[in-house]
Amino acid sequence: MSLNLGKTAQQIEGFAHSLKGAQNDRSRRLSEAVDAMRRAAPEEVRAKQSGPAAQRRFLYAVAGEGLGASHPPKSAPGNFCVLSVDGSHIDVDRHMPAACALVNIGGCVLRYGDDPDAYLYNEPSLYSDDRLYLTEQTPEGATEIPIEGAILGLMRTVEEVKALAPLIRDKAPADAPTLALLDGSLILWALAGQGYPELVRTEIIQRGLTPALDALREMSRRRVLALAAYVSLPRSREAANALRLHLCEFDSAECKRVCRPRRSPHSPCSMVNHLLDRELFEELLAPGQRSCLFSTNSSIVDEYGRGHRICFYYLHTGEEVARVEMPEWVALDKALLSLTHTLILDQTRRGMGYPVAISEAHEQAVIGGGDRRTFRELVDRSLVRRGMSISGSEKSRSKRMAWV
Amino acid sequence: MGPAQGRIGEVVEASSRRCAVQCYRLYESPPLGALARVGDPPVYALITEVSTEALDPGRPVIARGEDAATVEEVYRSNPQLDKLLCTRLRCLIVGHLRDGAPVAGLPPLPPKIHSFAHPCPADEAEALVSSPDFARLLLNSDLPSPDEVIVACLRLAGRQAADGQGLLHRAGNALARELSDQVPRLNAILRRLT
Repeated sequence: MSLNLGKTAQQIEGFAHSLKGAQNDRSRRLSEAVDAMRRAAPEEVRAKQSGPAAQRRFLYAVAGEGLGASHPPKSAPGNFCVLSVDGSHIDVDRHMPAACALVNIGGCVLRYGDDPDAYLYNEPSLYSDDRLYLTEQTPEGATEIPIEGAILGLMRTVEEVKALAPLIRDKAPADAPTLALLDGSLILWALAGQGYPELVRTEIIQRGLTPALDALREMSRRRVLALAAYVSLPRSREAANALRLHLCEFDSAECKRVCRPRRSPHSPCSMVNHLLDRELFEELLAPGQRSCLFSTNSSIVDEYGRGHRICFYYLHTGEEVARVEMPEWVALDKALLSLTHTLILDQTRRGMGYPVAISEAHEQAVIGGGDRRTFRELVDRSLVRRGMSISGSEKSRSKRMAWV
Repeated sequence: MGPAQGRIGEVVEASSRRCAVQCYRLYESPPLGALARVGDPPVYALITEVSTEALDPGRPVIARGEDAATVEEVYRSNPQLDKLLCTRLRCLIVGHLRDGAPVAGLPPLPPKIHSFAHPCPADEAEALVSSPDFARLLLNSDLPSPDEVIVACLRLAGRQAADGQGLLHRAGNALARELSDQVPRLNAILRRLT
């Protein structure tokens, strides 16, 4: 049966009506919040964030200066290099005749200046047999966790970061300031909380992400190298929550008692309810400017290792307000921090609003619908050639041929 | 490092009558009307169209040079373009090697996909272009503007041949026989060759 579009449309109408009703109130609160951000004195913000009132149920960004501070970009160096790695994957499909997954890592290196050049590549990697499991042998017994779904997504993210160091070593000129760019967040939000077994966290962070970040930091000691991640259309509220904390007139215990994680029933901090960081910075920043530097207080980054705490700022590219994240070793180096700002802005200008290096890395990595079908056919053919059965599930067959 | 042995590119489409060659380097292609020697056993392919387009047909090329002073600046500012665009040659297959000598006409088999394309040596081009069968093949092809390709081909071959005038004379005679009932068309071609 097809979707009942009539009933769906009625519900969408109701939803749009309620959004419209809340719009005026939201605009007024946004304007008040922007003023409050501008007025927030750095010392007051710091005092609130480091004092006894700092414990809250909501995540807030730790600010190094005034919440409303802004910085213009510096000019780009004559010669520089921007590179990026992205990934795409085909997840384990239990309706397929054999369990396997594919991770495709794509990347690009773009050299600008006196000797412009580009290098594009992609590298597929099949996960099958033992590679499809995280395993651990302890005195209590063996643990085995299948790598599929969200865990495969996290493994892919780690593979993207791991791919940067060899790419820089082999393809980026050592004497040119280099920016390594990733798509999306460096904060593994999916691992925050207690949803995954310890083995997953160990494998993804301690044995995956941290060594990859260590390798990049080590390289950055020998050459001008910055690492940053670009989040387009961010939906974070950490900076807005920093304002919420700054405005809050309750102590920590009372706030935890009466306020919800996403909103407060009390004025003045209720002015921040449901506002996104990017909405605030659209008002606070002029095109080209970045916000002050924040660091996240998400607990997951505590596990990244020393120097890898994630910092971020918001950047008005002229087309949108994006979130730019970087490890602390980049953020605390003024020259590298400035390089991220300048070169990301330059990339968005060359890329019609989106960093061209990320865009090209994505194009190299993406596995389209046709390729996905071909992958499945290759698996089938390979099994048939070896005299193996390729009978998939009846459910899969039924979906492909929805007969009447 | 450049392409080996002066190669132009590789065959990416092939049939008995036509083939397409993707050049190894952007904009580094022989001109319209040039002959290429393709594959092994070799066939001779006449370049009837040179095009440059996105390597991925799903990605449209967009304007990028609004603030640039020159076209070169556009390419310098967007170094990835060299890897995302490609120059392709549409070719008419006009001859092959028989008993060690080039002959005009269709080969028994088309070149393999990925066959290498080289510039055609001048002596082999001269032997082909002088042949009456060459003119007949071109005039009877379904090219949208065969006369333009004939003129471009003969001019090039004439410049490269040891006896250019003699070559043009022989090719002109061959055209005259084929176009004896289309004198204005023949004259239009010959005028452009002199």
